[in-house]
Amino acid sequence: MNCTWAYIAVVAALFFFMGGLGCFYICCFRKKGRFATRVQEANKQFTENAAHELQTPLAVIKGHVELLLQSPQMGEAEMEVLDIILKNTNRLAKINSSLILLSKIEHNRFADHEVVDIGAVVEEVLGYYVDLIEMQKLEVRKAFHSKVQYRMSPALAEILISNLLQNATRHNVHNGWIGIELEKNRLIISNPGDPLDGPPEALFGRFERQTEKEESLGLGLSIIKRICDYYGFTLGYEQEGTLHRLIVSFNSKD
Amino acid sequence: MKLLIVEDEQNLLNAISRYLKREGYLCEYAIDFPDAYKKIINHEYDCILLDLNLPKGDGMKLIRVLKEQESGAGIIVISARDTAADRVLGLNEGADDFLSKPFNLSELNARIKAVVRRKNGQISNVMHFGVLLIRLDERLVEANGVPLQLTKKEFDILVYLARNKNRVVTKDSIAEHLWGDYMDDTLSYDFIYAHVKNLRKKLADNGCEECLKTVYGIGYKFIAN
Repeated sequence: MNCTWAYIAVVAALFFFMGGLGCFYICCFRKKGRFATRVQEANKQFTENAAHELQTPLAVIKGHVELLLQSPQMGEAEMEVLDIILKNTNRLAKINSSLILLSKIEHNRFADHEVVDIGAVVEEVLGYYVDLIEMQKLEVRKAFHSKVQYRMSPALAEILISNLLQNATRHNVHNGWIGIELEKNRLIISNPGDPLDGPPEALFGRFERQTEKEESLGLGLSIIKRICDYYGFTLGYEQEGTLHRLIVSFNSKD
Repeated sequence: MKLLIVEDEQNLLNAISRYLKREGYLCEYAIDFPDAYKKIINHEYDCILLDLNLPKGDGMKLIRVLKEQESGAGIIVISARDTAADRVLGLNEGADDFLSKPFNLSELNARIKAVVRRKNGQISNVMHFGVLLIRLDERLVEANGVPLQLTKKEFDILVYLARNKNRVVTKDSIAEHLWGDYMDDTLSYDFIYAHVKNLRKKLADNGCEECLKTVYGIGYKFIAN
């Protein structure tokens, strides 16, 4: 397992390095005055650049682990270690992409607004999740009472719906169901699942996990929240026993 | 087959070329824009792997140069900047595919084969392994002349493994190949396990007992001699 520790050390070093670089970057701007805006700008640039820069070393680690997997000298024990490294590298990569996404939303990088039909996006995204839904034997209960259209970035609309549906499948029960209701200016996604452990207000914070499931990053709901904030949608959560309901209220300015 | 790998990160370049050389490809490298430009002007390649963020120049310009030359090379962009804008721009300029970092080498390998196949048209429609025949356009598989009834996912898994023949392909990589981001790891492993089990049975019933090997808990290997 030495290998894994070495790996963890490398990753930790990487993050410290990033932090250090960030401070340096900000300090450089500090001298030039207009402190607040400069710092903001530096931060904005830094978060995005740093996150992008991380993708290449992650690709290096992944590539070399994949090479090792092909080596005839690897026995079962070694393969298990490689599997752990690979899984955690993938996890890092996913966290990194989510952070890039959050940062991009915060910094207004989705300006391609057009009229999006929410029902159509739901149908499209459901198509991607067909297998996942089938694996858990979930029933999809759709009720589109009204056509909901909103002027927004089509990419963000897809990310929003995709995260909502993923959340509803991930925290579902076997042989459960997903409710998708569209009514005037509202999208309601509901699913049965275990009761929440923590307070519902904590749900939308970054890295808040209500599950010990390893694949859950705790970023899905904060991405949903961030997109809703960006467009001024209200995001509500209701719980009735084991029934969970997420409600997106689109404001009606369009 | 001749490849040009344009990538400034030496460690990544090494990993890619070591993996691809085992496919029998001839790999050449370029680590910055001028180097890549010179090679593109002077040589013909079947496929070019292109990082867009290059020292001393913009990788996007190299795509334009290739198009002006009416090069027949397939172009796969490998980029750390996975934005829809970059993707669209790259594909509009004439790239054939776009793979964002970090990627699986098995995925890269499969994409190269798919791109080169598209460029060559009908010639490479059939993959042939002993008694097993995979017709890619028709999405048909025959074993000893008998057509197999495969589901869509079984067919996709078989082609992916066959494109990485004699290599360990991880379940993660298969999951990513089939579903991209729309996946839940734990569930997808069970799903892949069930599909490979069915696939293996269908192959075994028709004389391909040893085609698919399970490699511990980590993945699978398509055996071809």
